[in-house]
This record gives sequence, C-alpha cells and structure tokens, in this order.
Amino acid sequence: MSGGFAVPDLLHFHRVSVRVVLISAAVSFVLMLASAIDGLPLWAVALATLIPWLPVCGFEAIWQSRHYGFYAFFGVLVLLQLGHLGEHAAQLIQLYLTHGNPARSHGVFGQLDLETVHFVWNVTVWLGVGALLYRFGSRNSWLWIAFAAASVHMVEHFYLYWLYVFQNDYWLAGGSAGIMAAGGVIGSPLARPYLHFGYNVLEITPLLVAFVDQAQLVYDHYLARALPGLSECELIATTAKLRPVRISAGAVVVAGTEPTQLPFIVASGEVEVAYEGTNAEPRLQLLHAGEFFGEIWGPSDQPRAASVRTTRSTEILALAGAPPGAARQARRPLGLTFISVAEHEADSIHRSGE
Amino acid sequence: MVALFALLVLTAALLAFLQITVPVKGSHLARADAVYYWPVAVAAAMVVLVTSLVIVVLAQRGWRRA
Repeated sequence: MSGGFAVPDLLHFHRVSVRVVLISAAVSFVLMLASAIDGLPLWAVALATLIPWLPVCGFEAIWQSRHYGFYAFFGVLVLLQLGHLGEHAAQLIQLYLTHGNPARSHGVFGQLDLETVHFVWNVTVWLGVGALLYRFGSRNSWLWIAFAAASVHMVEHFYLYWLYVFQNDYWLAGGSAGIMAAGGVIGSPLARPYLHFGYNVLEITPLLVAFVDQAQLVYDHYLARALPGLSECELIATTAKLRPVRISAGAVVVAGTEPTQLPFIVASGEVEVAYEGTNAEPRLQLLHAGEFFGEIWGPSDQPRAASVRTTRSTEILALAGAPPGAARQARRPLGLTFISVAEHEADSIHRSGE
Repeated sequence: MVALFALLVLTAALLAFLQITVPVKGSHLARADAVYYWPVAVAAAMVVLVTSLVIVVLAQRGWRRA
C-alpha cells in the first residue's frame, strides 16, 4: 500500500460544477442557521441543512449511473450508510448529554427510531452489499468483510424484529437488548446503543475501503461503447483521462480549419459532422451516445475539411491523450479516425458535385 | 491499514469509555428470561446463514459466467 492517499478522480463531482456545489453549501449553511435561530426541532434543522444537497447528489448519482453503471448504486449505499452511522453517533452524544436516558436519545430523526425501520434498513443494506458482492466481489475482498459484518448485524435484527412483532411485552421488558448486547441472549458488556454503533462502524469501514478500491477498477460505459476493442485494463486507464464537457446546441466542437483535436466521445445528445467545402454544408453523419470523433493517434497539425457541431445540448467526453491500444483499434476494419473517414466521404461528395 | 486499525481501536476505546461512564438506563431481563427465546436467535442465524450462502453461490456463478 502506498504511503499517501489521493481521492480517485472517479469520486469527484462530474455532473455538478464547483460553483453549484458552493452555492448549495452556502444555501445549506444559511438554512441551518436560520432554522436553528428560529428554534425549530433538531430534525427540522437537519432536514433544512440536507435539502439543498438533494439535487446535487441526485444529479450526480444519475450521471454516475449512466457512465459507471452499478458503481453509482455502490456510492448511494455508502452515502446512506454513512448517514445511518451519523444517526447512531448522534444517539451516543444524546446519551452522553442525558446521562444515559434512552427515552431522550433517539438520534436526529427520532421519529424513525423504530424497530421496523431498523429492520427494513438493515435488510436493505445487507441485500445491497450482497448485490455488490455479486457484481464486484470477485476482485474486491473488502466487500466480503463488509458482507460478513452486515450478516452478523442482520442476525441481531431478525431476532429483535421477531420479538417486537410476536412478543412485544417481552421486547418492552428488556428483550430489546437482542442477542449480543448487555442483558441479551449471549450478552456482552456493551448496552444496545453502544453495540449497534460498533456494528455500524464494522460495517461501514470495509464498505468505504471497498468503495475507494473499486474506483480503481471502474470504466466509463460510453468509452467502452465507442472503443469496444480496448481491454478492460485499457478502458480503466483511459477513463482516468476523460473530461466531461457540456456543450449547448449549435456550438462548433471541431472547426474544419483547425488542426485535428484529440478524440471526443458523445455521452448524450447529438453532434453532426458536416463538410465545410460548400455553402450547403452537406451533413456527413449524425453521431449519438457511444460514438466518437476526432483523432485517435493524438493531435495533428493538418487542418480538416469537416467540422463537428452539436445539434442539441450535448455532453462530450474529451480524451486527454490517445488511449492505450489506439494502434490496435486503428486496425479495425471500419477504420477509426472518424474525421479522416468523414473527410473521405466529403471529398466524394465534393467531387460528385463538380 | 494502520489508519484502519487506529480507527477500530479508537472506536473500541470510545465505546468502552461510554459504557463505563454513561451506563444506559432501562429495563433488564433476568438471565434465565434473557435466554428464553434462544431458539429464535438460532433460527435468525440460520436464515442469515442460508441466505448468505445463496448470495455467495449466486455471486460465484455470476463471476464464472462473466
């Protein structure tokens, strides 16, 4: 393991700009301050603080899901589980402040501190980690640890929920200690709130490490569609060089008179490749999500006869540098340097018009 | 790895501190009563074990197919 830790590029915001993140942070802070000064209950203050972040997280999750598939679900699960751990941490603070009074220590969203909610939440997380194991587990040993921790935690909640539903009096009389907490079936020195905080730490820690590790193994789905000949390792390495750019409708992405640009991949929207030799600008081709244009071997000094412009709001992935394996890609029968192919077609059209 | 170990030690220390200094109030069952529904705990463990095994087998089949 290397000494320093750098956040993988995949974990940065892609869909949402830094300006929007800063505005959301400012609005969140103001709402938190205003609701606290207004004397609203703790849950309302927390809700007011979180609401401005919902669109940011929502748009980012949708973007990640389109580009990285199931990895976005991984991110959402980690985020929700961190929030859940936050609730348990809040409960510990409340216990400390109330000298161990559980009736006044239900966390921030105390209305949700119900056995049914705990059960449903933990089943969801357990099966969610199981789904991650199915998808990513073959190369992510931390997911196995997270799944084992979630399974042990789940045994407790199955037992607790059964008592809550079928033996409620027993549950109220102290059965809520469960299996491992002090006073439980097996028992331990820890009371239930402390034990369950420990369970959650044991669950979220390997999950978080697994999430960061998995970021090194994910590639962009549009890149894979555009360059299907690249190996998985090449796709992963190339994904790190992609920079998403949003372009409004009608903008010129590559002008025919300019030297050739690096490869671009269309992620959403549409671009048209048009020949600039005549006033009519005959359209050569429309490119959609998963198709690419540009120069696969790297920048060229040669100006091109074809230009590329967006027909509607479009997201393009700019590739900084030729991808590894580009030469092999170029041997594909259909050819790869799209602009070159487009130019050939343009020349044909031009000659037939003369 | 050192950071993870430190985090776990810190968590354990925090929980031990809280358990000693802030014992949680509430009703407690006598030892004989606390173990009364032990078969339910065993059943819960079996349900989780079987489901976990199914998930692991499905996952391994999925990896072989991929």
